[in-house]
Amino acid sequence: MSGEIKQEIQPKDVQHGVWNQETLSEIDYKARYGKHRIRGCGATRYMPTFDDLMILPSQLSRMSIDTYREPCETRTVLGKRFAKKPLVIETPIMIAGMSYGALSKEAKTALAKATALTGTVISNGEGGLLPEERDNSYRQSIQILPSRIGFNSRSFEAADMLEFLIGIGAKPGLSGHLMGSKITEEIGAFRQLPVGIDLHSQPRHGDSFGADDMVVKMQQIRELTNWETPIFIKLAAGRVRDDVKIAVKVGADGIIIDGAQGGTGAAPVMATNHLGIPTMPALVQAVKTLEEMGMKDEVSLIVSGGIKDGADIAKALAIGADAVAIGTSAMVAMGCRVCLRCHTGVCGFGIGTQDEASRAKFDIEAAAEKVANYIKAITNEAVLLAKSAGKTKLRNLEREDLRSLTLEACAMTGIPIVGTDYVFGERFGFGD
Amino acid sequence: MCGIAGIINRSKTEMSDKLLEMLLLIQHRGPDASGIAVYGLDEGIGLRVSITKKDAFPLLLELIAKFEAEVVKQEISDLEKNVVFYEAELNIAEADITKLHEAINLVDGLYVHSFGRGMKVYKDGGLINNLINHQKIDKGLATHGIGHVRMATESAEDINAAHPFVSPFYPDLSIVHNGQFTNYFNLRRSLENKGANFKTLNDSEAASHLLAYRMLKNGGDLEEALNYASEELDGIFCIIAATSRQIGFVKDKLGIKPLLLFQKDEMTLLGSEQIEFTALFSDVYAEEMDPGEVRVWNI
Amino acid sequence: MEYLDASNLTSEDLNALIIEKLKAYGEVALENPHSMHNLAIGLKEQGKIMVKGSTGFFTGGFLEGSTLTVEGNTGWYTGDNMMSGEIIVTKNTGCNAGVYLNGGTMVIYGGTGSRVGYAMKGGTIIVCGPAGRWAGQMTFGGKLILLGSVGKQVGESMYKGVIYTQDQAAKDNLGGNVYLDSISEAEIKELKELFEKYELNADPQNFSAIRPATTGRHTYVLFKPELKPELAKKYG
Repeated sequence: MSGEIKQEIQPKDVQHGVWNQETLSEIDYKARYGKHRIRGCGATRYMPTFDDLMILPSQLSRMSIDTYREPCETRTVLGKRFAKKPLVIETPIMIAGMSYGALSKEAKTALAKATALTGTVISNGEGGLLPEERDNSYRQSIQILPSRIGFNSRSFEAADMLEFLIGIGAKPGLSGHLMGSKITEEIGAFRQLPVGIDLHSQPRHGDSFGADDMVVKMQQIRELTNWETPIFIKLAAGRVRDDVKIAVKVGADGIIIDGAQGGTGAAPVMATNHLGIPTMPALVQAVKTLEEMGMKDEVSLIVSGGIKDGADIAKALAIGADAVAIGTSAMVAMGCRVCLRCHTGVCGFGIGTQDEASRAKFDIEAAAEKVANYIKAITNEAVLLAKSAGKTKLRNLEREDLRSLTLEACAMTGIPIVGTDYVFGERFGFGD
Repeated sequence: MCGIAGIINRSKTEMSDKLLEMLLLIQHRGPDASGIAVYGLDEGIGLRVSITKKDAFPLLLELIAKFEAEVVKQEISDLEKNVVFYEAELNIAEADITKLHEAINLVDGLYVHSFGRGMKVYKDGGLINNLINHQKIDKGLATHGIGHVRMATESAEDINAAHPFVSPFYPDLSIVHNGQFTNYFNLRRSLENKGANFKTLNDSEAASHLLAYRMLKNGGDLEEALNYASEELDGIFCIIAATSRQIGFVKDKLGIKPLLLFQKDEMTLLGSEQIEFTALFSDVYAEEMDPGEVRVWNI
Repeated sequence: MEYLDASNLTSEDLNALIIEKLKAYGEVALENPHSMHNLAIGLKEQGKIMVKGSTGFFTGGFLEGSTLTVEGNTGWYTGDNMMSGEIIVTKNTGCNAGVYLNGGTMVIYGGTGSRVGYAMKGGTIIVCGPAGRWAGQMTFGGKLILLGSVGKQVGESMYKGVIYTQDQAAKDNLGGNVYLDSISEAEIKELKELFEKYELNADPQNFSAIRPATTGRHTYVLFKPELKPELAKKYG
C-alpha cells in the first residue's frame, strides 16, 4: 500500500486521562442543573482497604488451633469504661445505623430479625425507632443525632447502647439527606416532616455546641440512663487523632470510627469521594491515639466503612478494634445490587425505597435468614483466620500478626512489609 | 521446646543440686539457657542482679544506698566477664523491696534475677554446665524450687531471656514456662499500661508480670492467679509458679505441653518428662496432668 | 534369659545390641533403662524384649514384628507408627500412646494420657486403666478397647475404626462426628478372645461400640451464639 494516509483509518485513542466518560457525564449534569449531584451509596472510587494486609499463620514457632474441632470465642463485651451494664454480643459484628426512611420498613424489620438469630445489636439510624425494629432486635442501639428525629425520653428506655453521632464516613461534616421522593405520608408522620420535601437535617447538636458543652451533656445522659447504658461517640474518619482524644475526654465508653468507604442513602458525590480518610488508616490512628492516652483497655472501639468479609473483621480486630459495623454488606446480603439509586427510592428489591409495589416483593423472613447467614458465615471466616494464627479467642488477634502487601498500606498503617520487618515511618506494634 | 522441673519437699532438704540433676536429664529439650529458683533458704532478704553494662554497676550500689538498705554481705563475680553477677544479703524494709526492684530494672544494663527473703534465682545462657561453672549456687537447705532449660523459639538467646522470671509487682513470685503465647504483644501492651517494665522480648516475661500483677490485686492467691492466667493467656503452655508460701502449675486447655507429677516419701516432683524423675528415684510411676488443670500446694 | 545393662548406653547403641541378642537368642531383658527415649524402635526381629524399668518417648516406635514388654511406665508416643508385633506396658503410658498405629497389638495394663490411638490406621490397643481425654481422636481404622473410664471428647472426629468401652458415662463424653452403638456378636467373640489371651477380667457383653458417623458430619458450627434475648433493655 502506498499513497496518502487516509483520514478515516485512525488508531483508536482510548482516554486514560482526566477527560474520560465519567468526567464528561459529571460536567453535563452540572451544566444542565447548576448544582452538585447527590447520589446513594457512598464512594465509588478505589481506596486502599484491609485487603492490602496479610495475616501471619502459625507453623513451627506457634501452634494453630483446629479449624473445625477446637473452640474459638467470639463473644464481645463493649462499653465497659463507665457503663454498669456493658453490651454483650455473641459476635463482634453489629448492624450499622441505617434509617427507616432511607430503608423500607420491611428491610429494617428483616435486619432486626437477623440480630435475633445471631445475637448482635442493630442501630436505628436517623429515622427514629421503628416499632417493628424494636420488637424484633436482639439488642438495640439508638442514635442521638443532631436532628433528634424520633428521639425523646422513651429512647433511653429501649436502648441497650447509645450512639452520640457527630458524623458518618460517607459524608463527614454534612448532615442527613433524605430526598423528597422517599418522604411519604407514613414517613412524614413518623419523622414529623412535610411530605415530598427534601430533608437536609441539622448539622450540629443543638444542645452541645463544642466539646466543652459535650462534657456536661454526657454527664446529663449518664444520670438519665443511671450510668447503665454504654454511650458511644460516632465519628467520621477525618482528624482522627484530635477527635478521638476529645471523645475520650468527653467521657464516652466507646468510639465508632466510620471510614470514607462507608455508605449512605444519599450524599453529594463530591463529599463521598473527597472527604475523610479510608477505614484502615483511620482505625490505626484511632488505636494509636487511645494507646497514647493509656485508654486502650478501657475505651471500646468499633470500626465501619466497607467491611465485607471475615478477613476484614480479623484484620480490624488485629489492629485493635473491638467490633465492626456492617451497613452496605448487610443490604447486599438481602438482595441489594448497589445500583446507586437509593437517593431516588427506585429500588428493585424493596430495600432502599418507600414504594409500595417494590416493598411488596420483599420477603422479610427470607431476607432475615440471608442476613443472619451472612453474619454467621463471616464470623466463621474470622474465626478460621484467627485459629490459623493460633488464637482461641477472636479478640486475641494482634497487630504483630499482620504484614502489609503494598507500600501504601505499610506507610499508612506502620505494619511491616511482607517478608521483612521494615516500616516506612512510624512503626505500629513491636518489631524484632 | 523447653523443659521444666519442680520439687516440693515436706521438710528442708538439699534443693539446688537435685534440680540441676533433673534438668540435666532433659538438657535435650533446650540448649539455649537454663535456670533454677530455690525457696525456703535460711537466709535474709537476698538480691541477685545481672550486670550486662559495666558502667551500670555503680548505679546499682547508689540505688541500694538510696533506699537505705543495709548490705549485710555482698559478692560480685568476675568483672572481666561479659555478664557480671551481683549477689547481696540486705536489710531493707519489706515495703521497699518492690520499689528498689523497679528502680534497678529501670537502669539499662541491670536486671534483677531475684529479690526476696530466702529465695534465689540462678540463670545463665547455654548448657546447664555453663550455669554450674559460672555461678556460685547456694547449696543450702530449701523447701521447694523450680527449674528450666530453654530452647529459644522467638526471642534472642541472651541470659536475661532465660527463665525463671520475676516481676516487681510481686517480687517473691518466680515462674518457669514451657510453650508459646499467641497474644504476647497485646498482653505486653496491656501490662505496660499498668506500669510493667519489659526488658526482653520473651513472652514468658509477660506471664510473670501478668501473674504477679494479679497476685498483687487478689491478696497473694496463687491458685486464683493461675486460673486467671489460664483464661487470659492464649497459646500452648505449661507454667510452674512459686512463692515462698505456695507453688503451683497451670497446663493449657488443649493439653499439648506435658506436665508429669510424681510423689514419693516426702517429695513431690513436677516435670516435663518422666526421665527427670529418675535422677532422684529409680522406680518412677509418674502421672500426666489433665488439660486445663491448675493445682497449688501450700508450703 | 540374656540381658543387657542399659546404664551407659545410648538408645541407638542399645537398639543395635538388642538386634544382635534377638538374632542369637530370640529374647533379651533390659535392665536400667532409666526412662531413655527411642528404645527398641523399628525392630524387625522376631523375639521378645523385656524391659525392667520405665522408658521415655517413642518406646517401640515403628516396631515391626517383635514383642516388647515394659515392666514400668512409658513416656509419650509409645508404640508410635507401629507396623506389627506386640507391646505390653505393665503400668502407665504418657499421652498419644499408639499414635499412627498401622498394625500389631498394644496392651496397657495401667492408664494412659490424652489422645491414645491418635490417627491410628489399624491394629489393636487395649487400655485397662483410665484413658485420658480425646481418646481415639481422628482414627482411620483399627480397634481401641478401653476397659477403664474414658475422658471427655472420646472418639473425636473418627473417620474409620471403632472404640469399645464399658464406661456408662461414655455417652455423655462423646466427641464430635461419632455415635454410640451396640456391639455385634462377632465383635463380642473377638473381644472374648483378646481378653482371654491377655488374661483380662472383663465381660464383652458389658461393652458398647463408638463408631464414626457416616452422615451429618462436620456440622461443626464455628460460631455458636448463646442467645439471651430476655436481657435486652426493652424488657427491663
